[in-house]
Amino acid sequence: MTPATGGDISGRGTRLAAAGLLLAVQVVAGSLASVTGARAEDRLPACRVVAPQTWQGAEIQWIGRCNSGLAEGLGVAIARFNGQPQERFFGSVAAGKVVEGVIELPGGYRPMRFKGDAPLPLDERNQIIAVFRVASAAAQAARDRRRAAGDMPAAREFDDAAERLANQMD
Amino acid sequence: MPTQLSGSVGSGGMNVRSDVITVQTLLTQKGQRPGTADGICGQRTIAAIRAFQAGFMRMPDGLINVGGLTWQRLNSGGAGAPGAPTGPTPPSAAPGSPEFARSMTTTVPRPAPGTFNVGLTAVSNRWMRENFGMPRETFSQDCQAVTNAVLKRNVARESVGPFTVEGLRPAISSLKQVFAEIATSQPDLYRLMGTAGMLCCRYQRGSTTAISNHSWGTAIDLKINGVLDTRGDNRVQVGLTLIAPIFNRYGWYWGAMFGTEDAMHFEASQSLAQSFKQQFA
Repeated sequence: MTPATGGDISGRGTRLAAAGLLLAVQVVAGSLASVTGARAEDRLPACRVVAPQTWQGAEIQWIGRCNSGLAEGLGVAIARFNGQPQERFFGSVAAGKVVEGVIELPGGYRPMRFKGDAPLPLDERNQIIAVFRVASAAAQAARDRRRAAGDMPAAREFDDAAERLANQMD
Repeated sequence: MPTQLSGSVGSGGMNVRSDVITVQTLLTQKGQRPGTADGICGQRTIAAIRAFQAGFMRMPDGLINVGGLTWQRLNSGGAGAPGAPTGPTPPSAAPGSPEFARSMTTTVPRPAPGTFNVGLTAVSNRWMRENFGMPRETFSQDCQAVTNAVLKRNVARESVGPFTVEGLRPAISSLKQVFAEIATSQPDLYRLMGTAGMLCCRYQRGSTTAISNHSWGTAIDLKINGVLDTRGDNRVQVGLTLIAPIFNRYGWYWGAMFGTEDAMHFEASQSLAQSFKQQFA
């Protein structure tokens, strides 16, 4: 995963960037604004998610299930940089590693899919449509968690995000 | 031409008329499109400021402060964007650098109506059905193959330069010309170009009647450095504003001007699609 510094996960430029750049980042406690949808109960200190190298140094939070200390299933990973716009990953994770999903950047969306630690080419439209479906479902999963926690503003924000992701490839 | 401003210009600025005229004039000289230098700081002027800032700022704010970075850049000698008078100034970041790639996916407000797609008419579902027939009999939410015999005979999978696509053969031929021109006029941006697909027979989301304009292989979605412009946010990637004039010249309609902004999307206009039909095998 290389969301910000020029690797194209789905194309030729990415492959050189991706495989060796994964970095396990521990989910840390923090104080993200409520617009990110993150709350204290999500910031489990023992839950880990594999993050892009470009997220190194960022405060990262996982909103989703945690299994044996590793992020699992559909959810949202949120990165915040000092003084920089945050980035979010919407998608599926298995044993802490990204399977597929979309990174939301200031300039748009970067769809991505992995097999093990290796990024897969994502040039076929059907594949990209499928990845955006997963991303939308991940946003809905985060919405449901926030709604269950009574955080309606964050739930609404994730609901909007789910809609935007679902409509992207129309 | 004055070399100093008396006050700030742009979004939330003081916008003294003489200052605004100065800025509008300089923006035009730099290849931007603020409209007539009338001293009124409207949306078009602010959009031009943002587009100009996108070349060197991560977060363009549409405001020029007295003596600030934007003013220094604007007031420096030399015209920007030589040979590309219809698009924003290319960024100053080194070609091939991560900063350059980021600058190409920085977003600016979508252009004002009438600034792109001039003289082009977008196709509708009905128009495509009447002129090309249904590409297949049944549809779903996923891409499926063309079954219409005439269309199928004219589907090809070929490189258009920076990537390979599957689409209607005459449309691919046109795209080869478009990307050849992009390679010449925007070579560094050309190397960042990718696609999210061209031919894809399927329903529009949530519909069981309207089908995607990708169903005929005459539309394409583009990504820059692997990033797709967010649909419907009324902002567009700077890189797309640089290549849209080229697409327009070859008869491709830019989706940034749709009712729901879709800046990553380009499709054959009515006149271009008509010409495709005449090239059918």
